[in-house]
Amino acid sequence: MTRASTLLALLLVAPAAARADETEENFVYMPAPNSESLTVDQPLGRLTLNGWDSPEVRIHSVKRAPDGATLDKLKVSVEMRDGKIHVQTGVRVGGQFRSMPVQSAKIDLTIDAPRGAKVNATTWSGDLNASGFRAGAVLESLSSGEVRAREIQGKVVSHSHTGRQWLEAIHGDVEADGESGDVELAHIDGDVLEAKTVEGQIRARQVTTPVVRLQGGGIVLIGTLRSGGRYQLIALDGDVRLELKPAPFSVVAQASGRVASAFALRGKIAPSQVDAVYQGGGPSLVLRADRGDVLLQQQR
Amino acid sequence: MTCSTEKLSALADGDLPARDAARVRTHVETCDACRRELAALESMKLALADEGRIPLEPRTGWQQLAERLNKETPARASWWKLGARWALVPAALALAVGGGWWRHHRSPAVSDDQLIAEAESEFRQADAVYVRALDKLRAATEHARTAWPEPRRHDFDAAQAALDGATEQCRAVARARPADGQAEALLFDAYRKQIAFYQEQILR
Repeated sequence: MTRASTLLALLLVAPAAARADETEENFVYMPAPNSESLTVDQPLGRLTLNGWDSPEVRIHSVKRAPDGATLDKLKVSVEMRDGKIHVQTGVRVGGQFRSMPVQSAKIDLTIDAPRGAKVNATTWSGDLNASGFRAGAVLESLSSGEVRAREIQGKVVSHSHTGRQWLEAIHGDVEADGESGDVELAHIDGDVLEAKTVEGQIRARQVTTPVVRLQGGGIVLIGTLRSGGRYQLIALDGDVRLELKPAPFSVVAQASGRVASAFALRGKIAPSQVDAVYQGGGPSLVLRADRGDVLLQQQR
Repeated sequence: MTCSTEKLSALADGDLPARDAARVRTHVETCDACRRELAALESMKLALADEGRIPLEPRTGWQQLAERLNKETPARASWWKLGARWALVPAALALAVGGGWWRHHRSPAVSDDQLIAEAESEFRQADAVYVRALDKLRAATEHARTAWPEPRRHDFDAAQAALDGATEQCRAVARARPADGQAEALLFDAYRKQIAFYQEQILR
């Protein structure tokens, strides 16, 4: 094929490919001076939520569909009363609004709302991002969407069915759970941190929460143990690995493989079972690896 | 009268005429299966009511906002601008425009049936992941169960049977309402309660 004919072919293909989707974009501002809560049901695509200092809500929606008629079936419903804002996306099917996930059409939403609003948001396979709120948040992806939360004050409850979860800089309690996605936790400083997955890995670093309960396929905890802290870490499928700065702690550990420590422990020590203390004891560690090792390593 | 999930569903929604509603209620009094299913449907209705759905004030600014977000003839993305950016040869651009127009008008809208089938497919995929996760946890718990004392085994078995029953009820409701996101959410919530139960057993 000559260069000219290749160029001609590209010119024909590129606009046609771009034309494969119809899109519609809307950008609106609405006053919301006393917004108490923000609830979003978004089964049709991505959702980004930003807390801001303005007493208004901005909703940016981008709809995509293979044709104009299908595009017109995509709907965004917005309701507000007494400071409670409810945004819902859905499809008009058989004359009815149905909030359900579909594969051939999408709506992506970005919502900026006052920081003081308590957030309750659900997506399906679209990623869910939330940041900058200070009254806590409940964030759920009911399918493969990822959940990312950062810079949130107050309790954060997070769930992703099979997607990853990143929770960072959360100034409050955390409850995270999922079926098969990994969970990354960093800079968490509430009273209780609880994360559970069935198959995913859980990795926590710089956690200053005094009560930490992690249960997952494999567990990694990196950082400094808090004085008086209680840590219960259980791995169903992999290792429990801790990378700690040298400081006193007490540990009860059990593994189907081995329990290995880079710290000089004193107490009952067997290859797969340990009940011991380091430097006279301190924060309590209960560690269990049902199909793996328990590894206590020194943080570099 | 024979058992009918559809009639139970309509009864729970208050959609049945008074005479039919009375007939269904009479049947429910004598049929354990229907009584359980109606209870599940009504609890689902309550759960949905608890979500605090807020009716729109007539002609509020928020309704206008919704209308703006859903207007029928929006500023759609100008695909031809994208084409023009690339089009160095006017003749090729004209062909591309023609091709795009043809593609647009040739392809029919995605039908309602197809959209519902897509939603059902999404729900079934998620359902399969829940079932797999539960199987895994059930196996892990069953292994641990052998070492438990009898009273704990007894309590565990009773709780497990209750949760299985509740999940089965939710599954029946979801099956009776294809592609109903709220019915599926109720079923998924039941799965998650079961998962939390097994995880708690493993933690103890």
